[in-house]
Amino acid sequence: MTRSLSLLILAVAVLTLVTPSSAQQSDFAVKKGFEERAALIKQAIDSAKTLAVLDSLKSAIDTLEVFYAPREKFLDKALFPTSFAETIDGLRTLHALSYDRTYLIQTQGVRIIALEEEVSALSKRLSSMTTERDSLFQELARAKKSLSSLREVVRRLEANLQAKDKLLFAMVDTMFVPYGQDVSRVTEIQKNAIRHKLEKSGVLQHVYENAADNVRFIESTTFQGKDYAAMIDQYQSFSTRWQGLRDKILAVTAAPPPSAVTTPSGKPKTAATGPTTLTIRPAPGAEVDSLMAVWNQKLQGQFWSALQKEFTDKKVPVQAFADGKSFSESIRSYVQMLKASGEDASSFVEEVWKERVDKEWGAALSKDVMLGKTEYQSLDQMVGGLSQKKFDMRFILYSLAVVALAVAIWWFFIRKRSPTPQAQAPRA
Amino acid sequence: MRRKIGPVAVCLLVLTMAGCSSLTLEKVEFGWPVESVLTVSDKSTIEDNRYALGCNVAPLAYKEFGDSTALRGSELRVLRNNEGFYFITGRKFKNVYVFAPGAGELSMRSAIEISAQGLSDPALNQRPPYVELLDGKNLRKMLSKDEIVQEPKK
Repeated sequence: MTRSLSLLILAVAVLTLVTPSSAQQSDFAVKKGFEERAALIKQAIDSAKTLAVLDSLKSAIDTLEVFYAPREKFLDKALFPTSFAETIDGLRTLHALSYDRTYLIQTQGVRIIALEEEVSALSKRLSSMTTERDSLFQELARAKKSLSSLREVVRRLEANLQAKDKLLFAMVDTMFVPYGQDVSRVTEIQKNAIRHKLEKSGVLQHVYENAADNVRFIESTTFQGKDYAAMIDQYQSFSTRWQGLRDKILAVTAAPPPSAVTTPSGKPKTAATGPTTLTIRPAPGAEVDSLMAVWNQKLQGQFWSALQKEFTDKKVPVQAFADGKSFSESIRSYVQMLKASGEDASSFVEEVWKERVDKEWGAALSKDVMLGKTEYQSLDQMVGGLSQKKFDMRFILYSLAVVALAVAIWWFFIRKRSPTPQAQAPRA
Repeated sequence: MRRKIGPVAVCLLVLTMAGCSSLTLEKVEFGWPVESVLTVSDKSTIEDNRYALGCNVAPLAYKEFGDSTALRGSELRVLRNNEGFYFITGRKFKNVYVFAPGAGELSMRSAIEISAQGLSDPALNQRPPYVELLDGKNLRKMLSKDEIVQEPKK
């Protein structure tokens, strides 16, 4: 192909150097020569793959124009219905279009190579982080005896999983970048290329594994209330990114390629070992969807049950709750009950709500997917109102007591010091 | 009454005579800008798509070579000059044939002898008022519809 293109360009160069205006030449030969050379240049432009070749072909067009210009009038008639100028303009337009196209391909080609290198580097980092994850999970199992070391391992593992997720989706974005925003409009060849890249990089397998790691992380230990805000954010971020990736995958392939995610030995890959054993089967997109549902379910379940435990441990008899709505109803009901009974709510307000719920769980509860900021603030004000009311009554009571005491003392001293008329009479 | 009819009749006669005279458009240029190189078919016909010219050249083959099939598969070079005459020649031709168009026919006006050995690489160029005949780089002649008009100076 390269050899034939070189020969073509050489032929163009040689032919355009032959002057058509020799002393004795057939008009027909002039016409035919012009047509052949123009066709040759056109063919060379169509076949050109590099800007250097196109630069040389631009010179060929210039030469063709200069050499045949003296016969322009003749060629205008002979080439009818086209003309000499139209033919040259046509070549120049074709050249310009081809130049733009080749420039784009060359620059995009360089960019694609750079991006593929980036994908490769990200893939390696992902592998190393997977190794780190494995060791962290092992460390987590050992660290359960010591609370401080457990907290440290949880923090590191959480950071590792977040970094892995970001890395994975950065890698995916890198794959799609050369094809622009609207993947559905790319050509079938490009779709095949994307599919090949996705399969080669095992993107769906990585997505599944990352989601499985997060599920495993939730199941592996108990968390503090403060941990949940980051975990909810992690789930939301992953879910949003996965939705975007799934749409792109569906755009490039209506039916996902039947490539089962398997181990090199051909056996189905087990993503996680632990309470939930997840096996990847064909149609990994659907598997990820179901795993995302499991992740959400476990996160929500563990969150609300852990929050419920806060009340149970403090012997606060709130109704059982399993989601934001039932939590809100439960707290409102309990507050109403306290108000109605006139029971002392200080313990609940200070020790449970302010010390535990607000400090530990407030950030997570304020998330839209849990309770929402507005609803949480409403509950907080309502619970805070219990304390405020109690404080005001005590203050009045204490104030009245102090005033009564002061009056009593004053009356006592006044009565004691004031002389009787009988006692003053003898001195006078 | 007869004296009045006489001049009117004369006028009518003059007008009628004028109406019957032929209408002629002058300064017509029939010339093709470039010759057509046409391949003779197996049926000894040629056809030019651009100028919509088609004819049977078997009589020409017989006239030139004594064989009506001699031109099959070969190329003929055809050029119409400004006057409307068709100049036809080809490889191995000793003559350039000049034809005048008629009603459904081309009738030979002249056969201009060029070379006893026959032309090796002929070409016809439009060089009004003549047609230029080239044969490679060695021969160049200006032709009118009837003859060679001048020898080019070398």
